[in-house]
Amino acid sequence: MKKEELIFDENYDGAVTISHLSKYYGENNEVKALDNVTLQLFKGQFVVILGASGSGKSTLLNLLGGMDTVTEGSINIAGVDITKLSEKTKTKYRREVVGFVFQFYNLMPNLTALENVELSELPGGMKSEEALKLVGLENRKNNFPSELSGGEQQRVSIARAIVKNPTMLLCDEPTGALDSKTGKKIIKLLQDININKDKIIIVVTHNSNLAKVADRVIKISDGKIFFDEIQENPLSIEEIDI
Amino acid sequence: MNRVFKKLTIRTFFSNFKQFLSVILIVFMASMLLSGFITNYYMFDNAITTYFNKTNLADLWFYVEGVDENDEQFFSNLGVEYEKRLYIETKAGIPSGLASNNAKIYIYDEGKISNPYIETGQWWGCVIDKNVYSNNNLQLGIDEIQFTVSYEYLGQNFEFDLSFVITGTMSLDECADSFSSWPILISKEAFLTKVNTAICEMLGIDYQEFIQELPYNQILVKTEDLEATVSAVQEYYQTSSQNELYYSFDRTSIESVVLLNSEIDQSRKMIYVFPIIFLFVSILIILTTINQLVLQERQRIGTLKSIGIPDKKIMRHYSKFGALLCAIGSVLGVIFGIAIIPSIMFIKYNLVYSIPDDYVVLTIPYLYILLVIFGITLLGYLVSVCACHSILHKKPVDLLRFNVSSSRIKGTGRLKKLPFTLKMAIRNIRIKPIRTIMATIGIAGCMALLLCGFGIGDTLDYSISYDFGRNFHYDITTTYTDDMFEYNLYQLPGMTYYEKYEKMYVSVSANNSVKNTNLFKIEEQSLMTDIYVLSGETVISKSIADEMEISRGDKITITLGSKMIELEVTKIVTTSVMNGIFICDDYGFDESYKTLGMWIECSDVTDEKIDFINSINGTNTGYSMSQYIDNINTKISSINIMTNTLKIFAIALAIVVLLNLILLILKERVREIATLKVLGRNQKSIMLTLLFEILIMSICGSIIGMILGYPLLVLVLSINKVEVLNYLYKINFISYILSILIVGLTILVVTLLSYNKVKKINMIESLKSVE
Ligand SMILES: Nc1ncnc2c1ncn2[C@@H]1O[C@H](COP(=O)(O)OP(=O)(O)O)[C@@H](O)[C@H]1O
Ligand SMILES: [Mg+2]
Repeated sequence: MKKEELIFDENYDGAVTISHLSKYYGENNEVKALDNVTLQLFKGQFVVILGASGSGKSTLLNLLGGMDTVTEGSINIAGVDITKLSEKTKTKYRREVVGFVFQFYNLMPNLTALENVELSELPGGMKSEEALKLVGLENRKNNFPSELSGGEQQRVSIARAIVKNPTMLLCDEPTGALDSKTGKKIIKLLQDININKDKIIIVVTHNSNLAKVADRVIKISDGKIFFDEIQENPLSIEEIDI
Repeated sequence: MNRVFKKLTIRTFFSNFKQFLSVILIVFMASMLLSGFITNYYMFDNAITTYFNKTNLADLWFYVEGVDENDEQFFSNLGVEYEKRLYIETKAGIPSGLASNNAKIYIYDEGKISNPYIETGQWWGCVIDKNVYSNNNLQLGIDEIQFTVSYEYLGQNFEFDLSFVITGTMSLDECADSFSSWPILISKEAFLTKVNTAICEMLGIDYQEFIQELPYNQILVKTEDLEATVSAVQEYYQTSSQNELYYSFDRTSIESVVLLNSEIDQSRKMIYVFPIIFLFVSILIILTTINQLVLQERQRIGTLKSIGIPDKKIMRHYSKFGALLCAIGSVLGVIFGIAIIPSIMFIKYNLVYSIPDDYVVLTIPYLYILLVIFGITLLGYLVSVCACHSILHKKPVDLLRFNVSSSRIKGTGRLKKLPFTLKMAIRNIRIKPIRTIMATIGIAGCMALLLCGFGIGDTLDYSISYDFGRNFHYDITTTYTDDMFEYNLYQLPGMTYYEKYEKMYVSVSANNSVKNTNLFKIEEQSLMTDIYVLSGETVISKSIADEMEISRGDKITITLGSKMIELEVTKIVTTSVMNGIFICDDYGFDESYKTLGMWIECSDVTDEKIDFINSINGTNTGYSMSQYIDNINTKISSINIMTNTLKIFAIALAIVVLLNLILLILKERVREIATLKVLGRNQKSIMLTLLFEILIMSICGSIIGMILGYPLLVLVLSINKVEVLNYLYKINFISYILSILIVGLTILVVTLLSYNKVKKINMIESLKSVE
């Protein structure tokens, strides 16, 4: 399948429409990790999803990222329901449309910073060196993850996610393993990446302070969204404590 | 991205190298054996084929009364290549080497059929087998060989003691095994000169050429159509010839040819047995190692999947290791196999047979060798594909979640000390069923191989002692030609009793199958053997009975020369070396076919006593029981090589399997062990858990291995049948003990090695990163 078959209908406005999305676990579907969620996400937004541990944040993110199968519902991006895609096309979707940033960075320990980024470089797209420059690590490109600090590792992981110029950047507790100063830098970096307002950036966290910098805050509990608001005047990252 | 993957491959390869080493080692062994035995077979087959072709081995042997002009005319009219020859069976001695044996003396007219291959020295004079020459440390032109020939001259029978200076060494195709008798080649001129000299000395006159022509008694024939030639010759001798045709042989009755052919057959079968066992174990080890690798890299695979790397690419990445390891192992194995195995095997072949060195050339069957490398590499790839198949079909989220091992440490504090260690071990075994099964099979294989190795030795010992010591309990066995022998025997000190026997090589037919075997005529109710034969009885060896599907009460037909008799089998006995048919009645077979022998009971058999027997006029051979057993052991030395190879490889296998297992356990549990250390558990209890885990698998594996040992022994030996011995399978109790000890010791050593590794695990390092 070609990329064109995936997304980009002529009038694509960058919106992602999630409707009646559910994910159940257990033999009798007794664990409702995500329960009938309907949501629309727009290009240029910096979305923070807040919720306690076990509330279903990661589940939502994983479904958005095409990493898991849904129980019910659909995720529509420019006319394509990604929940219905074949495994092969889903792989292509992950490869070309979404970027993932994990709490524990998940870098390949056997590859240098640059090589880790090169792993998701697309032909004809941004160069890995450039992505590393964007995250301010051009001088550490030949170091292995074990030689980098947590914050630096997370920046490599961000570089790996943005090198493909994704439509959606999905970050699952990106500051969860970092100290507050480094965490702030990472959030700042994520905001800077979206300077052109051409991506949807979703940051999942259980830290409510972080929500103050978001364009939009979504709160989730027991797999249900109970709060969804646009913040007209988000604070800058320097003004908050995380 | 491809470039990055290449780097990833190289780095993963080196960071897991220790783990991979076991795969390389086992593949190395498998391909070494496989390629080594294939090469050995081709070399040996090639050497023997060349040998038989170059020396122009005869197709038919006709034993005749004499050869006159009419006979020669007949053979040349027959349109076949033929050659007349004088063949004398006698006893020969080397005075300087104090050695003696049966001798087969060949005097050729021209030497164009079954042409002796002269290794060193000269064709004129006296040429002996090269192995006899080197075994007795002889020197050309100095040492002599002596033998007695009886010669009919002017209607009178004379006996001459002749001695010849050895002028050369040779290999003779039809007598390539010099154990049971020494092949000696005498040139026609040298022989006639010596005989004439002896006659003149006897008559007390000056040298005169009394005898100018040899009394030829054999005609060798080269022909494609054996049956037609034999019947034409038989008809000719019945109707027209002045001379009598005693009997005719084809290659299937020439012991040396039969032995060499069965040796070729064995060398071919060797290709299948051990290499295949090792290949099987290799598959298991590759499977575990690659499976372990992907389990260990689960999170990384999840990450790769989450950033959109296609499954195929990830699978290829991991399967590459299997292929790479197999390629390395098999290339190294092939090199060593070709270099080592044929050389070892040829040491043995040269010990038992005289094969011209010139015909032994390293022939590498390149196609097969390439096939071995390619096949094993492909196998490695495919096995790896299977090994990472399961994990790749998981969703990325499932792979990214922490794996079970970290959650296992919960709740350990509640358990008491010893039950904790044991419980932990059992739980670990249950959690990793594939690895447990692999390790168990590996240890079972090693145990079975060890038992098989020991069992081969036990079987040979038991089989030989079954006949020599149980079935037969003489002290000295002899064959003789002269009636005076019995009289002279009374001078043997310590002799208490003797019994005569006769041996004939007959052909037996029953149930539409024919077999050549020995017919022993022994004394009724013989005291020298437990094979108890009464008048009118016919006793037959179980191996022959089984082969020909004969049971008690069946009729068998025995043919020897022109005599044919039908007997009813009355008893079937188990024998190992002395296989044949036993009777005690005289059925009137022609005397000339009989080998006369005597079994002697004698106290304190010494070399001097044996020498005394050999010095008696008319003795052909004289062996003590132990000499006889030694001789048989030499003949089956190839099997001994196999036994030792088996044991070495079994131990190597055990080490590889156990090391692999321990490395796997340690690797997957570094974090767990580190956590236990942090929790304040001491080294001992950690090791105990490990040891229990290994012990449980080892015990299960060993038990399975012990059960499989005997069937494996039967399989291996039935593929390696030999002419001289009928195997009576047995594994001694002590062999079980030894095998258990060896496996146990290996486990101990390997565990001790791992103790050091556990000591070295750095708590902080291991707990720091989640990866
Ligand atoms: N593979 C799974 N099997 C069973 N339950 C699961 C699985 N994955 C997640 N859950 C459950 O789904 C719920 C939501 O999980 P998750 O989305 O990971 O929460 P969080 O908001 O902390 O990221 C939790 O109750 C969790 O226990
Ligand atoms: Mg989560």
